[in-house]
Amino acid sequence: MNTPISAARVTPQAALVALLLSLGFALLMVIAAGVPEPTLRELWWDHIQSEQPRARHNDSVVVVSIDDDSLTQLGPWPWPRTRLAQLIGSIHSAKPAILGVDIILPERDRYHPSEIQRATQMALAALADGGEVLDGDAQLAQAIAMGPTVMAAIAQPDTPGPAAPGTPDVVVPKAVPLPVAASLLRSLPVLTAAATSEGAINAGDAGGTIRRVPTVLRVGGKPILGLATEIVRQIEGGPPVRWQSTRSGTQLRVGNAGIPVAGDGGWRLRYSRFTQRPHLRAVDVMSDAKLRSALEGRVVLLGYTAAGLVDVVRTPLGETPGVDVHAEALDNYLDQQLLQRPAWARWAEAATLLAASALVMLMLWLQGPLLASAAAITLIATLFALSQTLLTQQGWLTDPIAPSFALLLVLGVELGLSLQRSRQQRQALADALQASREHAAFLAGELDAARRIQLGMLPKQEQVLQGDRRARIVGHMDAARTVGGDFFDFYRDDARLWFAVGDVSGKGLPASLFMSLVKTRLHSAALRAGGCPAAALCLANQELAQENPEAQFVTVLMGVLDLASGQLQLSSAGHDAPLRFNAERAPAVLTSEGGPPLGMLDDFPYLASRYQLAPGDNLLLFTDGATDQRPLQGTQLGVRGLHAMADQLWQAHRDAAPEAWMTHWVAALAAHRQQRELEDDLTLLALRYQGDAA
Amino acid sequence: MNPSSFSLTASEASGACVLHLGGWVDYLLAKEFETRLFLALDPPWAKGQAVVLDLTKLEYISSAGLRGLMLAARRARSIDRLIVLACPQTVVNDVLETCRFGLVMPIYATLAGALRGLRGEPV
Repeated sequence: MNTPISAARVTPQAALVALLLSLGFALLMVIAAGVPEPTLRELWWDHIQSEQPRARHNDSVVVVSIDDDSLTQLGPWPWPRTRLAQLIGSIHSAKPAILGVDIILPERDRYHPSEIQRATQMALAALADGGEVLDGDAQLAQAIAMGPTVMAAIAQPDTPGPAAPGTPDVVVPKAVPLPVAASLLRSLPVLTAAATSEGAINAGDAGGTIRRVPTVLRVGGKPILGLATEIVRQIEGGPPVRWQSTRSGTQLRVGNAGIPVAGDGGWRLRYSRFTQRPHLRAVDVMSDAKLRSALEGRVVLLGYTAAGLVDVVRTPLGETPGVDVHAEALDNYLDQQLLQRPAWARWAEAATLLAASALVMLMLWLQGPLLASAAAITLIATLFALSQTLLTQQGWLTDPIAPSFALLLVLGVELGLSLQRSRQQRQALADALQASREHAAFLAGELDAARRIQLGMLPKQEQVLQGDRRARIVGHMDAARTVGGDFFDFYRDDARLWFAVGDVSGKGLPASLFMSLVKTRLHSAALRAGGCPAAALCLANQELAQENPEAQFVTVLMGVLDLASGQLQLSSAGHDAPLRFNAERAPAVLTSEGGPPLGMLDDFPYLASRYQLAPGDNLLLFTDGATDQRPLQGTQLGVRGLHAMADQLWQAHRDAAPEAWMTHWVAALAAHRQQRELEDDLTLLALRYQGDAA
Repeated sequence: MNPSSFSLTASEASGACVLHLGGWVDYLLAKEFETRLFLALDPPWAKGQAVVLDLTKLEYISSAGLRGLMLAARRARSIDRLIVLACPQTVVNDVLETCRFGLVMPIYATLAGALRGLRGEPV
């Protein structure tokens, strides 16, 4: 039975599913570019930053930290404004490029007893010198005004408050979804008025990992720059600020400078280890002029780092003082190590997904699921490695997660379909195997039946001789296949015993069918041959010539034994001569007249030879299955080997009856071929003439 | 040579086509033997050319193999080609003699004898 089974690993339907899935994902990746960043790829970029923090190029930004030591030596926070004024004055005396104050001072100075005492002394001293006595806030404002200073202001999302001043000359399209705050918590007006400008803080990833700082916020409807952006603006000389979207991405243009930003104006930070940034203790800045000189020309940020002042945030590199986040942004700008997600990234990622899907499908088609999976894993690993390289070397943020996820999904669906096909094919194979077994069983049954019929056609001594003891005749036949082309036959014609052994060219069912035809024709011819085996062969040969389209032939040795006189006639149609022996006489070949095998030459005039058998004489007829058999290691037995075997058997069993002879012969031949399966049909026929005396 | 394989190569001698048979032609190989023998007999340019089957290296031939030889003889006659056997070795010679195969096609003890026989010269 033929069962159509597809050998292809990828069917057109499966390829279409993969194509549609890939296209769908690619489309989603392109369309979804404007939505908030998925957490997974943010975590991936965090991972890269933590594994490979930004290498610092210079120390342009210095943090003056109000640290634990400063608090220990200069008194607990909040410091009197006079002390802050002293600190900021010290900083400005070093002439930094700009000072950013990451401290909000929204309320008036407090009066502390010690400070009152110290302030009183200072005031009295000032008055004694004819000077003017200022309050703390005024002193601080004076210090702030000593140099360019940007004050921080906290953007408050929900708390209503007075109208924010906004940053002048900032143009951002209204459609841009900037962070929105209701009000600003600002320092005292006297302080902000003394400062150069203000920048907003704390409107980013509140409570989570700080990955970016806002460049622009909308407070009360007005745009105000973030602290770091405002400091950049001041460094650049206070130019106009413009929002700019180009093919390469979105930027906030600050004069000639550009800061790559996300869609909502977020400034992504490429973190370095904050501990490698110069930090000067406030107390040292105030007391050590030499140390203070290090601030000259640099960007200085003043903020808390003391443990008790709780301005610590989480970044991809771990916990970091809040002031260092702004310092990092400024460092990114000054070192020009800015992160950006290029506008082409989503297209490239979508194209990568399509190409990778095609490659994996090709591998699945050509090499199978194992190598296709290996290819997919290799591709994904390559995507991740490439993404890491692009981020660390170029500052480009690319997303390997979406295409990898989509690729795995496509592969998973394909493997699922492949598995399903595989199961269907296995089932089809199992069905085919079952059908084949049933068919084989059917054939085996048919062949077994044919074998039984063939064996049933062989004559039985008792039925033929019917108690006539003048002769005994025994046959043995083993087919090399279930049915064979060999045969033996014997029958009586009055006082004559006819016998024949034959071998059809070939084996199996065709030979068996031809054998049946030959056997029937021979028997029929014998009845018309007047007791002459040669005449019977001639008749059979003529008839077979008309019924032999396959040009088969058969070797036959035919004999007729006159049971009364012992006269024997033999005629051979291309068959091996029999052996003759008795208790006294060793086996000898009994050659005879004859001709070629039946079916080989039409109308051949076969002849017979006559012999006289004495009571006790034996004949052994055989086919070439006896002479051609060979052991696994060794040579064919051959006619000469068979004669030698006959000598040995005769020596050992010279008085044995034909039935026993047959058993010995079969065992000896099996021993010679080392019990191997027969290569050719084997037929033996043993005849003993016992004469009238029996 | 593997006991269950045979070879068939062709050459030319004294204007006759000589097919050299070798190896072992049993029942399993008989069909292939017959096919290759027919292919070797059939080239149209060889029509009328006598054929000698050189059996020098043929170690064994079964009755099914003999059928192939017999059919080859018939085929050769049908396309007007004389065909003879030459140099059968002991085992093969026994088989041929038993079958009186000499009645189907002439058998010569030597290749030279076969070539002379084809030319009608005394062997």
